[in-house]
Formats: sequence, structure tokens, C-alpha cells
Amino acid sequence: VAIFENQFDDNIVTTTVDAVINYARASALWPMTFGLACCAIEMMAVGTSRYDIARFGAEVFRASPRQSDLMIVAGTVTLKMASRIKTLYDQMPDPKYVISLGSCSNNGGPYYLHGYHVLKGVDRIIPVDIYIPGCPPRPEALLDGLMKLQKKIMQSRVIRRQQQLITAAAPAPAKVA
Amino acid sequence: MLTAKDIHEKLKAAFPDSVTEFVDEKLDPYSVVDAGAVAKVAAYLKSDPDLAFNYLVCISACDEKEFLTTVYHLESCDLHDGRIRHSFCMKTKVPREKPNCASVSHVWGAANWHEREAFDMMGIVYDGHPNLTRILCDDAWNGFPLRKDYVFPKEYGGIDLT
Repeated sequence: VAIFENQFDDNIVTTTVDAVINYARASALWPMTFGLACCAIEMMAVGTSRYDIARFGAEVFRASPRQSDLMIVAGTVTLKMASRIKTLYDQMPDPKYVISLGSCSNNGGPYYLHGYHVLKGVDRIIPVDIYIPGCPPRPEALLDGLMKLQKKIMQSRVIRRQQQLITAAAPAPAKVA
Repeated sequence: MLTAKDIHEKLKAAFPDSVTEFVDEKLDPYSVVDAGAVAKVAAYLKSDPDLAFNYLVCISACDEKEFLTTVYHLESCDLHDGRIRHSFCMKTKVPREKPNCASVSHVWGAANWHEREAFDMMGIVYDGHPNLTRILCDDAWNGFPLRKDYVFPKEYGGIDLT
């Protein structure tokens, strides 16, 4: 890359396809308007001016799964809701990402032992990229999770084949501390 | 201001066969009413001008091992100033094997969803209810989750729950 430097006119930048596409994907995540329980209140707080998710380019909450690429599972996933979530996830276009917000959607949380009606973790029905612990997590935790997801997206390889990605040990889902 | 004892005496006089015992607990005294006759008793409680129970606060259901109990909390509210004139509690007991109780949903509209919830969670069947279907659980749900002998499902719609 160094041999191209200063060889062109101004306004011409050399970079990789991966970097450009990943930058575009990570900087404009469109979450789905979708909340299940009290964690959704924190998710709404993240959209307000106090926490302002727009600073990270993820403020366009879309009302349709077909227009969104980020699903924030905010709240308790009941069994009745599980099939609906799966349908919504399937309706989202690729590439799509999932943030599991709060203990309930991570692993059932307070309903783990005696919740006959709660799914013990949303990752039993859809793949999850980022798990955010908390009951409910602070808005800052969701922002941290969002930044972790953006970091993860920046690491992805777009034009190489998916098979190579798997054999090269794709980065494991990051847990927010 | 009628006490629970007064109301029980009045009920006992009107329905000598259906209203059985009176339990004078300190916090929440109650009358036990025959499950099949609770609709008639409820209509009387609402229409009698002295009692005038126009407000059904809540219907609760309990699993007491041998039988299932429905608890009705009633209040008589002054419609002009909202003052509570008197309140009352009655219970019906139905056996586990045949949990049939009369519905009071045509007396108090609030009973409609409360009875559906009691049916959904406890499996008490309210005869005469206009739409006795599950209200919280899925329609295809097996069993009644809040019964003491309820066994948790191992699998739901292909999802492993263990």
C-alpha cells in the first residue's frame, strides 16, 4: 500500500474493500423498534438526548424488520414470543446482527429456575453477537455493547468466502464487562 | 357501613342452602359460597339496594391441594364521591377432579378476564362464561401452570427448555 501513497491527486484515498464496507455497516446500524420488557425502557433511554445513540450512528429505529439490520432483544423472551422473534429475525435482510440486552434474554435471568413460560436464553432460537448482562443494564452498557458490535463488524471479512472465515476461527461473541 | 358478619347474615337469610360457613378472620373475613350458586348470590349482592356491590375488585384463585378456591373481593362504591361504603369477600371451593364453578361475568364485566386468567393458570372452569379460553398462555399449552402439581414442560414447539 505504501507505494501508492502520494501518487494520486487530492481526494483519492487507497483502502481495502473490507474496510470500506465494514465502515459503512458499522457506522449505520439500523435497529428494529422492538421491546419485550423493562430492558426496552433502558433501550428507549439510549435513544433520548441524554445518552443519544445517534452519536454512534444507530438512532434510526425502523418499524419494519425488512429495513433493519440490528435486533436488540430487550427483555424477557416468553415462549409465546419466541416464535415471533424467530419470524422477525428471519425477515431481516443480511447482514444482520443481534444484541441480547439483559439477563432475561441472555439466559432466562430471574426466570431461569421457576419460569415455566420463559425461554432460557434467546440464543436458543437465533444467533447472538453481543450479550449485555444486567437487570436491566444501564444505558451506558447498551452503548458499550453497541461499540463492541461495531468493533466486531470491523473485523469481519466481506469478500473472502465464508468457509475460510470459519476455519480461520471467527472472533467469538464478545461479552460486555 | 355493614360489617362482613352483617353481610353474611343477610346472604344466609336469602340463600340458606348455598351460603355455608363464615370465617371471621381478622384481616379478611369471608363467606364460603356454593360454587354452583355463586352467580345467583353475585346477582343478589349487586342488585340489593342495601348491599349494592357495584365493584368487583379482584378474582383470585388458590390451589389448596385438595380443592381449588376462587376468591372474590367486592366493594360497594358510592358513584358520586367514590367513597367505599362497605367491602366483602367470598370464596368458592371446587374439587380438583371436577373444577366447575358458576361464572359471574354477566354480573360484573370485570370478571370476564379475571375468570379467563384463573382458568388459564389454575384450570377452574367457569360455567356460563361467554369466552372461556386461555388469556396468557398459548392456546396449545398443556396443563395449568400455577397448580401445585404442575410439571414444567421439557420442550415447546421444538425448543429445548431443559
